[in-house]
Amino acid sequence: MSRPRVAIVGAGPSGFFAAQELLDAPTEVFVDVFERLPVPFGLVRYGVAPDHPKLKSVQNKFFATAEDRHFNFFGNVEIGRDIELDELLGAYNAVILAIGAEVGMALGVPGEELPGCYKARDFVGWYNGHPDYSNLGVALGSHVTIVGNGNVALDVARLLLKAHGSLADTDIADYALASFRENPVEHVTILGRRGPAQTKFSFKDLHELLALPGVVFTASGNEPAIQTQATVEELNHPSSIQRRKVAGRLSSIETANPSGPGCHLAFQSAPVEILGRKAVETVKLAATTLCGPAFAQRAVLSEGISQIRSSALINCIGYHVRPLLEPSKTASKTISNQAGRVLLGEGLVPGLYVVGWAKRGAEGTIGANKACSRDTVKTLLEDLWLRDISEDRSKRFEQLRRRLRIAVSFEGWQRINEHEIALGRTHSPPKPRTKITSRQRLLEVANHSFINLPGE
Amino acid sequence: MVYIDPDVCIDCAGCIPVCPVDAIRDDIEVSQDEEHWLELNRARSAELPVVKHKLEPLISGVAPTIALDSGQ
Repeated sequence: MSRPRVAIVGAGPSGFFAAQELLDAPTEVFVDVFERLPVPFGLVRYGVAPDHPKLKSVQNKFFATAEDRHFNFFGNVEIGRDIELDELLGAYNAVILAIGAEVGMALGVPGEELPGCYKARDFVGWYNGHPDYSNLGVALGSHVTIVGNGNVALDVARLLLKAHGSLADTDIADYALASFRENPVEHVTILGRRGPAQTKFSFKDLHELLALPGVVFTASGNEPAIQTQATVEELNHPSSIQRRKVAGRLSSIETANPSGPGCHLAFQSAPVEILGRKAVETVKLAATTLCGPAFAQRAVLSEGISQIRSSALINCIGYHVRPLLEPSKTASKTISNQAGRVLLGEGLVPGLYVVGWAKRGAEGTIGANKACSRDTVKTLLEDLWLRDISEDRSKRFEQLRRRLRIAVSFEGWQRINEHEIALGRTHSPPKPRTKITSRQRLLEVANHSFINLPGE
Repeated sequence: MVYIDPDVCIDCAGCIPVCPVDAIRDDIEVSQDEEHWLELNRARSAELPVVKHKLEPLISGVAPTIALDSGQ
């Protein structure tokens, strides 16, 4: 029997963890990873904040995975553009979707299309040098409103409030650092529809924000006295250790209106309209009340309407999954699956699996993907003997491979990697790397076809 | 008992909420009298094999009273 081949779509953490699980398995398989960008590592490179280098060090593991001689990387290959999913299913014994959740959810309020309104994915991609967002043309002004109570909101707030000088030795995009330096943000307001007990903040990230030197923090809606009975029940539940810590820390912020520059956390406060003539100027807010049983409380808009001055708004409320299987449909929270086996309508799609945020929804840190990918790979390996290893499949595989000659290989990525690290070293102060932020340039460096430009 | 190698750990904090007995501390939460745990974790994780599979929870960790009652 010839060695089975597994394709993984997406070279982020969940894709790489799945690859490692497959390569460690007693069943010997070939693993081919497809990535639509010329570079691997997904949100490790383009999501994790530049001032969290230890979190990015997980990529050392991924470099080790890529060294396996049964592993191949095909960068700059997009499913639906360069190859079809059906072609992969025809040529491989199994295909794993590790496509993440990249569609930013809409707020669904009037004025959302105004310039100055950014989705977290675009904004985070921009400061992280993502080639699709490096030309976003960000203009924040002095008053930024962040919508959402998850760790992305904390990352964005921290980067805006941190002294820009302390970011100079990170791999933040040069243009983003210059923008923060030239136009410092003075006021940040973080809006949450629900209360301190219902945030998705991690204690660590919250602690890091609140410990920023020289920043005054105020909050509203954080008084324990206004907690609903259901909230008290949520906080007292034995499983709520983290929730209690986070809520406790948030309650300790001074309850006050912001009186000067700083950061204000407004709980039970939802944006209902974004106003401005040519760009965002004001955000209209409604107070909310919490309704429903413990762990299922919803925020319902109430009467109190207020307005805050806002020169920009960053929407950090969450992500949906691109509907790869049914492109005409709208994005949904996850790809339907049973223990990682992809469901389409009522039936399973033979040979198709899902891992990571596309499987579980956009929640959980990098490490959570390891167990998630392991579970799916276990299922896949149980099924693998059901999938034929026919001559036809091998033939289709050879045909597909010939078309993929133009893809960026892992060696191509290593050229980019070395080039970026070398550029970073020449920086003052030295940076871990200076990211190449144009797709064209990435391809040139990967393919060795570049000429050194003066000043680079 | 299992240990975390502080040099290899990526600080993603993913383990903290899933630990059933709240045994894992972030370095920002380690008090002075707990600091010796950092070195102990470094030393022991270097000596012990890497855990790659889910372990059965320690009975003493899940329910110390049950362990005591059953004389274990």
